[in-house]
Amino acid sequence: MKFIVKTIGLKKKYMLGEVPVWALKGIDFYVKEGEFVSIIGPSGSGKSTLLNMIGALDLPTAGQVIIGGKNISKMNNNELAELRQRIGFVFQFFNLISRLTAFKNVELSMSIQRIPKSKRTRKTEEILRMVGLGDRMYHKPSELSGGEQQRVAIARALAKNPKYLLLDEPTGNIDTKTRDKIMDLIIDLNKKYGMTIIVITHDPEIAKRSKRIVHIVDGRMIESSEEYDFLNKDIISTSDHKDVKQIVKEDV
Amino acid sequence: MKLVDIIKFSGSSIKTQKSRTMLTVLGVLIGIAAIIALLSLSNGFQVSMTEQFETGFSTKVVQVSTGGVFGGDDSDDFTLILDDIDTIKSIEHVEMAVPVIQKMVTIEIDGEDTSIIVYGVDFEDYSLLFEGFSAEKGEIPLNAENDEFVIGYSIHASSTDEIIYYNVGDDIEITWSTREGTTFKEYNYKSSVAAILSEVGGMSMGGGPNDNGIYMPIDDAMDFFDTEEVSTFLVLLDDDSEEIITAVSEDIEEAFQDKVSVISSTQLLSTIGGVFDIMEIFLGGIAGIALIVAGIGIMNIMIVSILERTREIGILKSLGLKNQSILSIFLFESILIGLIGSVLGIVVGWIIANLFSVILSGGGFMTGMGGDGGDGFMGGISMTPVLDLPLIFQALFFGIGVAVIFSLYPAWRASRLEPVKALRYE
Repeated sequence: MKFIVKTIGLKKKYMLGEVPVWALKGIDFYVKEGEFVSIIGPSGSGKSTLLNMIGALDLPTAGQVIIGGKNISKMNNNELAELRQRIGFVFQFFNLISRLTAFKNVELSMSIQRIPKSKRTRKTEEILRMVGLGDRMYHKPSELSGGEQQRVAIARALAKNPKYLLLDEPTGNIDTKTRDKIMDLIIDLNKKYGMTIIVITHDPEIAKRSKRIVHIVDGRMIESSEEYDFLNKDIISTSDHKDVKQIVKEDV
Repeated sequence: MKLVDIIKFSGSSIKTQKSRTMLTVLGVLIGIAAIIALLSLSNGFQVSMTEQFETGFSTKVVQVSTGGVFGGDDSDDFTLILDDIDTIKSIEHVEMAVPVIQKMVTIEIDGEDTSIIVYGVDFEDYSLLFEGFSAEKGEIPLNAENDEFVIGYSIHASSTDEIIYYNVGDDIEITWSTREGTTFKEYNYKSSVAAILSEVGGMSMGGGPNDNGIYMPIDDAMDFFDTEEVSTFLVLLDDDSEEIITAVSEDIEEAFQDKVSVISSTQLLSTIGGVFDIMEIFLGGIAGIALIVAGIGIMNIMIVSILERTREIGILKSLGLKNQSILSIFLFESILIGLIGSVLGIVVGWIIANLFSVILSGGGFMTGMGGDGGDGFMGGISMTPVLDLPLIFQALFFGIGVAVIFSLYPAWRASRLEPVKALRYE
């Protein structure tokens, strides 16, 4: 199975005023086509930074992000924009455009791809029905519940016909019942349609349902395990971090 | 993103911020309305003046007087007299010379004493020079014995033709006073109206027929005013080439030892054209300042709008929208604002220009000059604003141009935002 996205020695530095802060300190990470990967870790550990890099929203300070065999650091602005057109991004705070209806929000990602109007309309309706919003298409985000807004965001990401779907705490802002529905939808996408999914979460229930869990602490990846029975097995650390087991347990 | 989708997206954003858009549009509207109103009025004034000079003046005619075009300096006591006609006629290329005498007199119009100018001319010669010297009513008397008046249209009737002051056959009494020592002596002269001239419109500075003038045979005028003094000689040349006009002008000036000025119609037109050019630059400059203020308003609004929409820009970038498309979205927003403002500005400016034109033509510009105060009898100066296609295109060009120029920087800034930072913006 080929890698859909891969990072090699990935580092990212931010400046907090004049103080440099390393958000990522050398991450080697990969995702294969069709995988469902959870990224977990405490707040400020660098999860979102990693997700932004593999979503081509940000560029590394050092190391490489390889998407579809290409190093994103070597791409120009237009190539990066075109790459983003094929990556589905779902944010914790939905990030819908408030003045546009659910329909227009979903359609927007296709109009950016220059898909003809008739095809766009058909596909938007199809996807919104698929996420269970067939009767809420012409409502603006302010008229929708948190769960509905997140479904619009997922629909918008799916409308791009993405290579993979990145979800940054997709259920962080919605209630448990809705969370389960959203997760069912995400798992369905992976199982039924073979969609590659990478999700950041704090929620052990969600992490449990993924096929692989990647653990990030303090800018480093300390664990990547396949089919990991998260709550029952001891964690075998690959890191020299003394309190790794503790941190992972506490975090989960 | 396709152009049509970019325009739709820009439109949807403008629609969301209605009141802010309206205020920005208002800024452009005021600037463009000022340009249209000022320049269309100035154009109209120019057209009516030019038309008048062109009908009132043949290119073969030069005007000889002791003053300049607008009166000028006659501190020297030199005056032209009737006999000077021989001197002028003796100059090569001169075909004919028509003397004109002018006096300010008082007549009664609509029950009030009104100052007007009486012109003493030879009707026959004068009508050879000016096509405009033709009767609308009655007949211009061409035999020397007839001492009747020919009157301008404004002496005949009010500007709207509602009130008739004098008709053909009516008597007009003109009063003229002269100072004798410390007392004023008044003279009266009464004659009937033989003809009413067709309406010329506006005023005449070149010695041609005039809506506000009374014309009488020159011999009668000289007798009545007891003068040999000629205010102007209108000289017809046999050629209208610039060299001949210059040569004759120099010869005439030389013959009178440079105490007269010779003005040709082309010279007059170019002098007036020059005045209009300066006026247009001045008026355009004022309107331009209004437009620049509007532009700064647009820039301000765009910067605020981009700050407010930073997150939206981040979303668009995360969806894969290219930098140039983001630039285009914001530019199109300002183009739309510029376009709406310009179109409305053209309409409003045109309405304002027409209102001014009505006020000016009805309000008695000439009456003011005559010193009688505004009952509008003289009909004022006709100044129909002229809005031609080039002016419309210029206004659109400036309106949209200012909008685009002032939004270039904010739009560029928006397009350069980093997606991650933009998405995090609160």
